[in-house]
Amino acid sequence: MVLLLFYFFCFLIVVSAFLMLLTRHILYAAFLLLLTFLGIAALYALVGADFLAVSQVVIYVGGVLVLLLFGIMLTHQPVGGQPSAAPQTESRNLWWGALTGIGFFALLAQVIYKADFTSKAWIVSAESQKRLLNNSSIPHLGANLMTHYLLPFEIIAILLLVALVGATLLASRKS
Amino acid sequence: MQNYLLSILIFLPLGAMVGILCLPNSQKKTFKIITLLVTGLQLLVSLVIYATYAVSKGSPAGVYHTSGFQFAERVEWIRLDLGNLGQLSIDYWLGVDGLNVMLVVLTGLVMFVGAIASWQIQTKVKGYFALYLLLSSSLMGCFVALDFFLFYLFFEFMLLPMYFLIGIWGGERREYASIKFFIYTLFGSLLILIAMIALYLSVIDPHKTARQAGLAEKSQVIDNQILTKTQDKLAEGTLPANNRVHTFGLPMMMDKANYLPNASLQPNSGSETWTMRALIFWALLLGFAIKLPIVPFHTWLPDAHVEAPTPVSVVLAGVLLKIGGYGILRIAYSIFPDMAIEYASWVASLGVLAIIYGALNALAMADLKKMVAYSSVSHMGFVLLGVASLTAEGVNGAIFQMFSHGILSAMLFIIVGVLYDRTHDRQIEHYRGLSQAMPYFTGLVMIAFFASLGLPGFSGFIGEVFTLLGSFKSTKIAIGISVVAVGGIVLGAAYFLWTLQRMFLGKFWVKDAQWKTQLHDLYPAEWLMLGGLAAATLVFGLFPSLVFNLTSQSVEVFLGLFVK
Amino acid sequence: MFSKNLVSELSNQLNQILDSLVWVYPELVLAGWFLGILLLDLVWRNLPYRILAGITGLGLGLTAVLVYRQFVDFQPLSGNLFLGMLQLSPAAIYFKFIFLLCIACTVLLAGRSRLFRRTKPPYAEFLALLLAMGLGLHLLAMSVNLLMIYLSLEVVSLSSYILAAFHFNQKASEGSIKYLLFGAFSSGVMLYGMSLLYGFCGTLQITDNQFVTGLAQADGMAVLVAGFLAMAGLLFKISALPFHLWTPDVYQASPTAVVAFFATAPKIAGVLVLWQFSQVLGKIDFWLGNVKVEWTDLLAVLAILTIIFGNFSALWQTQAKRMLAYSAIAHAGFLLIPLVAANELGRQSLFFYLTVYVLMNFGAFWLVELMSQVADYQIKSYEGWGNAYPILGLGFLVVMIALTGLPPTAGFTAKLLIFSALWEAYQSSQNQLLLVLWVVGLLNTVVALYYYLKIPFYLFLRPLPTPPNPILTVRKLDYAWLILLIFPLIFWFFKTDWLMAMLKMLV
Repeated sequence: MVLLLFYFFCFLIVVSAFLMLLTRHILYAAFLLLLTFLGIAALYALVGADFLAVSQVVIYVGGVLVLLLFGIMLTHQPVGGQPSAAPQTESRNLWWGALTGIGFFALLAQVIYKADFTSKAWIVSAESQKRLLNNSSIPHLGANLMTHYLLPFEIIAILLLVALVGATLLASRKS
Repeated sequence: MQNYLLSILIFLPLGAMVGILCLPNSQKKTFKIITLLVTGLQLLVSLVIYATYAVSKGSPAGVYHTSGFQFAERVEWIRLDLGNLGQLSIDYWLGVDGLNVMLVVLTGLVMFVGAIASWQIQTKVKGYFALYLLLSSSLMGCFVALDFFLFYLFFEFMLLPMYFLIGIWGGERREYASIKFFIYTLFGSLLILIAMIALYLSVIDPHKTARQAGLAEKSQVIDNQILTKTQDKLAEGTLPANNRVHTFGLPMMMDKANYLPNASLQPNSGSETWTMRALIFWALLLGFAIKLPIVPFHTWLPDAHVEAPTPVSVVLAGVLLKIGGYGILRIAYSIFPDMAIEYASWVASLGVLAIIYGALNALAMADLKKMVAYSSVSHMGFVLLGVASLTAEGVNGAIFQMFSHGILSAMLFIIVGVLYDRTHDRQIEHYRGLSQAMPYFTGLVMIAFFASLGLPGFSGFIGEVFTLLGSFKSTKIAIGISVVAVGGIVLGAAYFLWTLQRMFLGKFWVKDAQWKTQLHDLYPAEWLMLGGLAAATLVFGLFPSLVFNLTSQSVEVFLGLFVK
Repeated sequence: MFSKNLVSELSNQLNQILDSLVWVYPELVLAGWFLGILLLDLVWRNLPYRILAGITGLGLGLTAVLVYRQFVDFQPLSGNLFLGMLQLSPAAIYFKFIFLLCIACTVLLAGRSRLFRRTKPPYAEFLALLLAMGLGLHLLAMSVNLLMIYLSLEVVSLSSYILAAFHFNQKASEGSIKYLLFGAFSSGVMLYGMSLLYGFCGTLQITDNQFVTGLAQADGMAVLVAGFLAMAGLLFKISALPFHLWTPDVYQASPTAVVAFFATAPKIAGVLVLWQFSQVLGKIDFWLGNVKVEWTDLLAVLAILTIIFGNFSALWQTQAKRMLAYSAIAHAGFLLIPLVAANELGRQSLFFYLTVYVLMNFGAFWLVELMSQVADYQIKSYEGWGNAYPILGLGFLVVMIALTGLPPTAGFTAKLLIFSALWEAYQSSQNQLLLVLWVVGLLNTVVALYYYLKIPFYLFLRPLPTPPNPILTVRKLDYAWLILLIFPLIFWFFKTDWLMAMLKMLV
């Protein structure tokens, strides 16, 4: 049952991401992104990362994406209008690009296949410990965030501030 | 005081250069006088070295005998701790033996002549003379350095002044010629760098290693016993790696016992055809051959010579080319004697190729300066042939040929300069019967030409005959190669005589009637330069022992490397 | 909710974190100054550059003092900080100094730059971002944890994207966007690789034993691919192939001071982390079928490609900054050589090379910026200025010779040392690939000479066009800085042992 769900959500993610690339309409692309995000949240939930799944929905679906949609709707032509003109640069080396992409995908697929994660010692032991934990991962996340990952946590704050400064700077300077 | 003569040779011009840079631009005359004085002093010092160079039977005469170098100076310059690789030590190590003493004299002489010839430089005088002095200093350094690193430093150091001297004060195509010169010679010097890195990491200095490893006390004099003990420990592999002191000293690199047992440059390291030793040997040989120059890599030379101003051509042909020959003797051959024997025929063939190809080209040139440039290629081929023969005659002859060619090529380029100064034209067919307008000049030209084509009585003869004798006598190279080389002499006679006949004999005619008034005979300065050089070629041609006395002992030691 | 056991462990961990805090004072000051400058700008708008730069300088000075205190107080045991996130080593301390030096040079050069002053960018943000970048670099130099490496690299990258656009014109935006796209791509790739590595060993800490054993047990090809992917962000930072594409455009479009900074500090940090990374992965033999591949083989191939590509592309450049961009790519290849050698001499020579590299680059960019008063960045427009300003010309000559790697400059010594390390590695491993790299790297100097020589060529060999261009003003400060930057380049050639003796201690 879990496996079936897993494949279903995987399928959802891949197809929606792929369609997002293909569509020329930015609003459709945004909605497809929504599907992708939801699928990922579902995957998180499936592996027991409940807090992460909820955060994914709240932050990405509820926050980021809604903002994005607002932005698009406010600045772009309404649904049903003509998609904007064709891109100005022609796409060259289409075949080579496709070939490289497929080749790279094959390589990565082989890597993951060969890596054989399920038999890794640390994963096996983690699997066995999982049953000992309570249902929620939140306490452990909280403890870790304040101990092992305290420094990264603080650095992320700086990182976000830098991004914020940069964004306002670039936006306000547009001539 | 005598101990510091070699340092004086190097640092005197360097100090003068700093002095010139500090003077204001307007002091044009002062720059010239300073340069003349300094190069004159350099000549004097080199003559003192020549005169006091001790020739005595029985004493080891340098090459790989560390104690056999005269006027030696040795101070540790850089010492680095390379962790588990041991240490690296670079010495400020100068010295003179039979291989380089004549080249020091030659450098002194040619730089002095060049300084006189530089009197006519008018533009950017300050820069010119500063660079000239820098060049002089690095050339001297190159010949007297006994540490590979030091040698390499001077070797690279002369590229920059040369580049600017050709590039700023040269002829029409100076930009092309100067860049070509720089690129070619840098390529050569990189091959040398490759060899240098590979060598120094394979060789230790037994003296310093003994101290480092505690085999000798601090105050103890290191005798042969300790050295042998150190070398034995090295060979056994019982010497801790971090006690090895890697050295750039050239004499140390010539001793098999100083090589690390597992280094791929180890002399006894197997007998496959293309060992690392062979590769490094060829890298060195090619590196120096580009400088010499050797035929496929010679094309920078005609361009550089033709575009350079007269004094720079004089220095280029007179001294710079000799570094190639000297480097082959001192470094490539001395460190890789086994490879030198193995590839003797190849090297000799390269020499003969240069002789014949250079001569044929000289025959075809319409520009007098180009003709002279190609004659240089041909004459330097004899040097390579002589060295490749690995006989006493051949190697002595090669050194003599370098010395003699230094004098003669300086003379030839000054001759070209004399004509060019007057008419700004160097085409051979634009002149005829110059002997009528410039009789004294023609007289000196005849001396230079005859000396160059190898007329007995002049220095060119001795050099060519000895190298050929050596090559015929040599068991290492095929007789056919030497036979072909003789053809080079015939060709040499042909182009010099033909040029003489076309330009100087017959009825006086020049292309532009105006030139007739400009073609004065020699000025005093030109008299001084040409006359002095002509006297030198005559003296050394009549008394070759003036050179051989100094060189033969060291050559014997040098050849000893090849029978071990 | 927690067992008693767990609580005591937690308090123990918190105590450790508090103890670690002592060792990140310099970083705290940098972070504080970053915030402070932003706040200051909110309160007093439009402060002149001079004052803001002075305040920044104060912060840098304070940081330098604190870093110096670290150097003095350093004890080997005080190594692991924040429960294994950071590791303070003498090398990290040394390079923190270098980063501060780079920032100081950048602040000064930006103040000197005419173009920069004319466009009047928001100075406070500029300086604040530089400080943030400094913070990221400091952390990067100490990071031994994949997460920390990634985060500090992102701090550096994000600041870089913004700084790259500081001319605020179309060209700058283009460069910045390119930078951002390639950067985002490579950091995505890096994250992917890191997650694979985490999957192999279950720990993020690369100095952990579990990390090495985990990798050693995993499939060879998988680790090789994952390791390469995880390197992507670092290769991007040092502009090595195949992540070099942004370099020329960004160098051309960004303010010179920023470019000089990009060419030095992030590159050093990137190489340092790569060194750490290679030390770990170098311990493992990878078997692809029956062929044994080593981590250094991968690096060697990258180095060969990078050196050849950088040098040969630089040949065709006519624009000084673009040429220096390709030269930066070529140097990235040279910086990989000590990593390939991976021995003690390699470590020392890498540090030597990096130190010299900072001076060469700031020297070069300072000179290029000075020349931009009379010429645009076209090399051709340098015609004849060397004769008019001999000291400037001489400076150019020394820097270019040093970048080429010829004596008598420390650039030569640096090359000599890295190639010595490589030869030694070849001697002990007999790996033919190393020999190829050795020969290719050395012979590429000829190519390098050709394009570096272009600048002295135009400066000295061509006459000044008449009528002369606008007046070139060279202030005393310029001379002072140039001498400070260029003098060591020559001095360390003659007295290599002085610098090396110091670098040797940074174990």
